[in-house]
Amino acid sequence: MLEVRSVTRRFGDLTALDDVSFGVPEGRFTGFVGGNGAGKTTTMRIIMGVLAPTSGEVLWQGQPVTARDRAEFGYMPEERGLYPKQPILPQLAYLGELHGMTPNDAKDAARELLGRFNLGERTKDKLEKLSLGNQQRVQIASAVIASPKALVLDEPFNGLDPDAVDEMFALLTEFTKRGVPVLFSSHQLELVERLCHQIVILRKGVVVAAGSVDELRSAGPKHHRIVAGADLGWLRGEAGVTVVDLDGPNADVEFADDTAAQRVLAEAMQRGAVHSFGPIVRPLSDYYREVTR
Amino acid sequence: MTTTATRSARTNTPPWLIVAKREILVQLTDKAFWIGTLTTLAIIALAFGMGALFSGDGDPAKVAVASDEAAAVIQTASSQGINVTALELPEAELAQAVEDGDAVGALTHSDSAGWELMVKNLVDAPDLTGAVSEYQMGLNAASQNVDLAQLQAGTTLSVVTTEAEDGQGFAVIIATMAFAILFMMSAMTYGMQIANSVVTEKESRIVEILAAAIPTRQLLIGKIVGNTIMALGQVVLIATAALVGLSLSQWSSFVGMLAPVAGWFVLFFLVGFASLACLWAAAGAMATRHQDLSQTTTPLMMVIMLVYMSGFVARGTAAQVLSYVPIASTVSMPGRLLSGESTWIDAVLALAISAAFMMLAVWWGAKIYRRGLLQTGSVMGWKDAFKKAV
Repeated sequence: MLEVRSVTRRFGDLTALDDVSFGVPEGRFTGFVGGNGAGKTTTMRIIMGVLAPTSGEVLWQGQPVTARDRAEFGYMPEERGLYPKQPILPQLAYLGELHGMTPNDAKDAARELLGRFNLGERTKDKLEKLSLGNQQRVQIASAVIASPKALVLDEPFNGLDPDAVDEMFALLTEFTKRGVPVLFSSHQLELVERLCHQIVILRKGVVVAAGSVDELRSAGPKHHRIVAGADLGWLRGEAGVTVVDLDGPNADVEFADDTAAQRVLAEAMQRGAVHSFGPIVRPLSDYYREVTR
Repeated sequence: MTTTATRSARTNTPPWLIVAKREILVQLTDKAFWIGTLTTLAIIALAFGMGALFSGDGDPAKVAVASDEAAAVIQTASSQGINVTALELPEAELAQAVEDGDAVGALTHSDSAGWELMVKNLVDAPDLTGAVSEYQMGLNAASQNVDLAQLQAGTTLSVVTTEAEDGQGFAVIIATMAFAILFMMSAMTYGMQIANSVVTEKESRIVEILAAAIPTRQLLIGKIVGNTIMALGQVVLIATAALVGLSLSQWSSFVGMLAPVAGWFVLFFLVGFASLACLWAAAGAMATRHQDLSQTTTPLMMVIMLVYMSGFVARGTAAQVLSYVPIASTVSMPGRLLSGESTWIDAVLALAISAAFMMLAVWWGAKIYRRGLLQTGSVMGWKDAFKKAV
């Protein structure tokens, strides 16, 4: 497990991160969400050792993370970058070597990844000769080339078309299946909701929520929606029921407990047809807006 | 995924070595590098070719002689294709003839000193080594029952100069200038290469990936080692080419004197370049784009130009002082070793001072480098860098 523990970072008078703590469990996608300037990039830079924390620490398997550990992490910084004037195969192989691979292994892995991204014919091309989408693929390859034991990806889906998002997700899934913890930041909530097991929400340098997607969704009041054949005005008089919204045969209600819910369901069926009766699954964005407000 | 699916064996190669290897490979696979290197070698070859062409023409050089033996040696030399002729003078007038320039040298023989060629300027000395050897061996062989050692006895030629030993010899000046030019060329080319390499990584933003993968100190060491090897390679290549050219020219008698001094130069260059290398890297890290380099590298360019100019203008006491000053000693000390004004003890002392300075420069340069590397917002000034580093 990759763990950030009580990390604070100040830039002069500005406190960019204030006592940030969260974990990235093994084999899980952890989405890192927050607005611009919330501190996502700063946190990731601190995890990767590019930036030093003012206080606090980063742990790998319970121990303070070392340079050797970090050499085995895969990283994709927010500001993308590779050597524009170097052919793509040698530069991927070079990065592989820096991550501790033997020259031959690095070259093989680079060739294989490029083949996978349909760039197998273009290994001798300079990076700047590739389209932006293909450059992005090479960038992804650079993060995973050395078979990392943890992945830290800053806005990895930025600028990718839907196909490329799927392609990348499939690739990353291979890593989580092997138990690799993956932390990625994104401002695309729907994407995070779709892909992630875990979510950490950051607001102005403070963790305002952290947990599994289901936990976060079901946090706060639980509403039910009822769609019946007849008017539901009678609900207003029922014990244990708070009507949130009522519009003829459609109602949003909050039940005091499960017994109340079952009682209302039976009553409604007696009064006529019930087309739909169930809890409202709130989109994560609702929750996000709530905690970051 | 097959190969990347399983964690392969990890190497223990230190990261700086991988970085150094890349720095070298990138240059070796660059066309511009080869064009530059081959052009330099071609210019050297051309220079010596032209020298040979011009020296082959014209009147034979007059060598004053006062004895039949000496005249016979000149005869032998002439028959060997060396462009000399004998100017027969009374013994007492030999030195004056050389001093006045009536003859390029005076060849004498005595039982105590053996063969001697007295010249005003060392560069003027015609190569009479072969002729003396041949003539004397003939004499020795003529005497009977001699073994090889006796046969070769007395065939060496020592060249002496009529000039006072104030180190102003033409040869010393030329050599010092050559060292100055070589220093400037290589230090600037490869210093700039380091700064460029650093700013390329900053500008393309790959530096963050590199800094996450390996400690920045390793990145810096790799760059410096790689480029120092390249710079040293170039210096050795050019110096060797020049010495080979010299040995094929009419000044071949200098090679024996110059070679060890060239060795000292290479040693001083190594330490001098390594001192500047970290500062070049710092200059690169202070910039945010290539365009900023002209601003951040100005102080280094000035240091190099000053050292270069000192090779041309500094003489006497100034040269003596400079021969102990780090970086400047690269150019000044070899010349003084050549003239004999400084001994190897001075050279070792100067080298030790340079090495001490190198450690200071490396420490300071590394500090600025690390500070500037991830600062992509604005250009850092030297004043600022100095303040932050101390």
